[in-house]
Amino acid sequence: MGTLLEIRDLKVSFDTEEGKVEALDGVNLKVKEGEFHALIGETGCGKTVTGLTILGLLDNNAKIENGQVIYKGIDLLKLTEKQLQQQIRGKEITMIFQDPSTSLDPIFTIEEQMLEALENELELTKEEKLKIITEELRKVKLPDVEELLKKYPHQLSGGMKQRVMIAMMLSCRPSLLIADEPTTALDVSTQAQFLKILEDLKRETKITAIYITHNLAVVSEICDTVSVMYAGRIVETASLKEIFLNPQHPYTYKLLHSVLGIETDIEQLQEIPGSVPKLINPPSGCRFHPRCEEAKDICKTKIPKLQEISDGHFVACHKRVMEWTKC
Amino acid sequence: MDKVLIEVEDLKKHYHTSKGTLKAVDGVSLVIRKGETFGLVGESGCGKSTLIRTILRLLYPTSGKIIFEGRNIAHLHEKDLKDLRKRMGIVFQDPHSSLNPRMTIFDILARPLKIHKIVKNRDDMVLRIVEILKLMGLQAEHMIRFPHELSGGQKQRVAIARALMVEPEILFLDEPTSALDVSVQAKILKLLDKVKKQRNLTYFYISHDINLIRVVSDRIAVMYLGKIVELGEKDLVFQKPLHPYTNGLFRSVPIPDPDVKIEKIPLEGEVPSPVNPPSGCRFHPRCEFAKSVCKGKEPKLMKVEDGRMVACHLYQ
Amino acid sequence: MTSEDLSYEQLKKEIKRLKRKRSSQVNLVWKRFTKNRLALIGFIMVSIVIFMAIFSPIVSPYDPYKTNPLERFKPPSMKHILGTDALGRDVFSRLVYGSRIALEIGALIVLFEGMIGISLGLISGYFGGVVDKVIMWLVDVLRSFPIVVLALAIAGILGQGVINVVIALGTVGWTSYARMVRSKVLTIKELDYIEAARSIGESNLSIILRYVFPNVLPTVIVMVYLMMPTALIASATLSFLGLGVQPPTADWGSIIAEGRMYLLKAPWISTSAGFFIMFTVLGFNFIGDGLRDALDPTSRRN
Repeated sequence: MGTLLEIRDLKVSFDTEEGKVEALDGVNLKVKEGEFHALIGETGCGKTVTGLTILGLLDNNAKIENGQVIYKGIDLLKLTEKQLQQQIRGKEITMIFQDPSTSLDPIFTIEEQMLEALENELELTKEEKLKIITEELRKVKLPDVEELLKKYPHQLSGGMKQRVMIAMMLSCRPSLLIADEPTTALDVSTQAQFLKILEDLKRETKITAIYITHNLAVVSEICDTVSVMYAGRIVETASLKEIFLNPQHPYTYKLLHSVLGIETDIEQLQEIPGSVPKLINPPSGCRFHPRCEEAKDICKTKIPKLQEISDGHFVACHKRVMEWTKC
Repeated sequence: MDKVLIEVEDLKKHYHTSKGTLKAVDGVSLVIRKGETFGLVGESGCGKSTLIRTILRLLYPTSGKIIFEGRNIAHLHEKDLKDLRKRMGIVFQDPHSSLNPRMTIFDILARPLKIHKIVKNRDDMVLRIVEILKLMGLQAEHMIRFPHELSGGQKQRVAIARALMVEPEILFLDEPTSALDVSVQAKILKLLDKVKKQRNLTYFYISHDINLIRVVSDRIAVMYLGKIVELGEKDLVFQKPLHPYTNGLFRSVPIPDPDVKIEKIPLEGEVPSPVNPPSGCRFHPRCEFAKSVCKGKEPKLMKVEDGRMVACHLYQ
Repeated sequence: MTSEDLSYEQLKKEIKRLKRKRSSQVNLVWKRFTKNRLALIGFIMVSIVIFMAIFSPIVSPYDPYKTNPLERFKPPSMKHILGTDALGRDVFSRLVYGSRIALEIGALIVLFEGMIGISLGLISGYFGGVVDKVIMWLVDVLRSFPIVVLALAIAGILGQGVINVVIALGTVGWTSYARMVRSKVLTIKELDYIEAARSIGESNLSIILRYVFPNVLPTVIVMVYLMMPTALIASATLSFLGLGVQPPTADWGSIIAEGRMYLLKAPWISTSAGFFIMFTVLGFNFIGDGLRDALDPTSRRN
């Protein structure tokens, strides 16, 4: 499998009233063709910012300080707004968001919005477009498609809206899907339905996805590779099984063991001491060191690099990397 | 453990809307025992929030009984509720909106003491507040802060502290961790567990997070469209859910294990509107075992074996 | 710090720090406010008017009431910056004294209508139901009249004079506050902290005063600055029509009215009075807009 998207040493900062926030500090990420790559981490770790940077959707107060986002050989950060709009967004890469109700325009019917999404396809007639649309809506298992097309977003439930979003995005046949917490606003039963649809799509269309979430259980359902983010950096990347069975970074380990369902007894839940640092004035060296029980002197001064310790398993931790080089 | 603290009998809370009567809670009966942790699980719109707010008498019930320590509080007048407020507490889901942004933490925690005239003087009050902050794992200096200066987890600790200030018998916990990050969630749950043991409290959790309910509860109930469909000892219900809805719901939960995947879609369709719900058993349109009786007759919540009850014609 | 090692003295120190913290919040609003250039200009403009009002005797070169038949209709010159009027009074001095009356009446109107409007808005929004319906019905009825015409009618009934101007304009003006406050209360009422307050046994009055009002306050402050200009213009209009402040009192509205008769002969009288009103109104509007942005940064976009 080739690499579809590669992020190299990406640094993004935000200017806020309180000061400069180093939201991303040297993010390195490789997304292979056809895989579902999970980006997990807690609030404020930079996972959404990573997604937005790829599509050039950052707010005005954001500044890309360094880095490249190579997609099919092109550096997306070098493209102009116009190029991104015409060639990348929607066509090559699409994003779906947590709250489906804010992504759909309340004053247009589903049909109008779905046609709008296809407006760049000049060679297609309206009938052909409608055919594609109905087909996609059926693919996401929405019932009564003809009737649905005439409806307005507020007439649909959250789960249906999220499926419409998926169908809309699929109709443009993108190569990469960025899903930002797509099931967080959904109920468990609707979430299960949604995950099934994604799984079918993955099998049938071979689409690649970056799946941004904080929910490890969802990750274990449909993702192949997992990258764990902490305070603006990626601390560990490995295959799904490796992350769950053989987590290396102390943060990954602790995070896994604070998930309900992995631990079924309150007594066994792991606590991470302290809290997520503010990124206005982040800790020096490894940003996890103030909360790490295994921290050494070097962790306070030197930023650990993301290094491969076994096939496809990368970790950014001084201690782990040293242990691995010894044996 | 077996002393009854709250007994709810055929409780109903209906709303009149332009589309018809919305039956948010429609005939719920349950018993909360002193010292237990009761977990109520259900999807959004099932009426679990309305149910606890009605039990707390933040809402006025349409009909039914709420017997709290031997007294029916269902139709107490608003002004007679003050004593009740001292004995029952609630912690809300979102700590960002449950604390008044214009009050300092000190003021927030001092209010319950002042309302119920619990302390004699200001020194006493300060001491009480410092004590509870410490119990919550916060520092005395937090009392001079405003809510927006605290993190989500810290805010939720303050919200818990506020509910505990008057030393209630029972704490209602409305998704207390769903707005928080996983690692913070673990801390809050452990804290709540510690406080419960220390003060011998009774907890009533409601959540859509089945894993959470599983971890914290002694007994659980499952709610669907305003009604309880299954109720029983946690282990029994989780080992073998009887009601088809409970079964489907539990199987919808993703298991954080790469080797275990959700098999075919466990629950098809969506929850119908509580305005004009389906006739008979409200779950029948989505139930794979539905028989003709399910359409016509509403199943009662009945005891099927020791320690568990279910409302389904399959077992009656 | 734990309860054991926390002495009462230390706590007092903490409380002091709290107060400093509070002022740092004010500082943040001030910082945002001053970053906004228009708001700062507005602030300077209003400061100038307030300065004139307080120090009228020092700022004005002449007695505003002293007539001088020899100096009638003198155009602006070094001697009389803004010329003189039909009775030979110095226009600039009269306008400077007029700022006193203008601000006094403006403040009184805002206070009067604010108190009524905020209370009724709070009650209407918080309790809802019949109370809400009655209050909002009253608001709709009052607002369906053209404001000035209604105020004219009231002033006509009550007679002339400063207090009557305040009552006349306040009777209509409170409706804006009531509406604004009510809509704000409706959103605040739905927030969890109101339910939380009820769950610990707070009374309705306490909830309104401790939980609802403090959160409406920023909106009200902005409202006051934005309503001040309306009050100024309305009171000037009433004076212009002869129903407000009576001559010879130096009032902007009546100065325009007096100058109107000599608009071709001595245009400086009415125009400079008009400029003073515009200057003040603009200043308050700039401050109001700036405050809104500073107090509620989320609404700043667009």
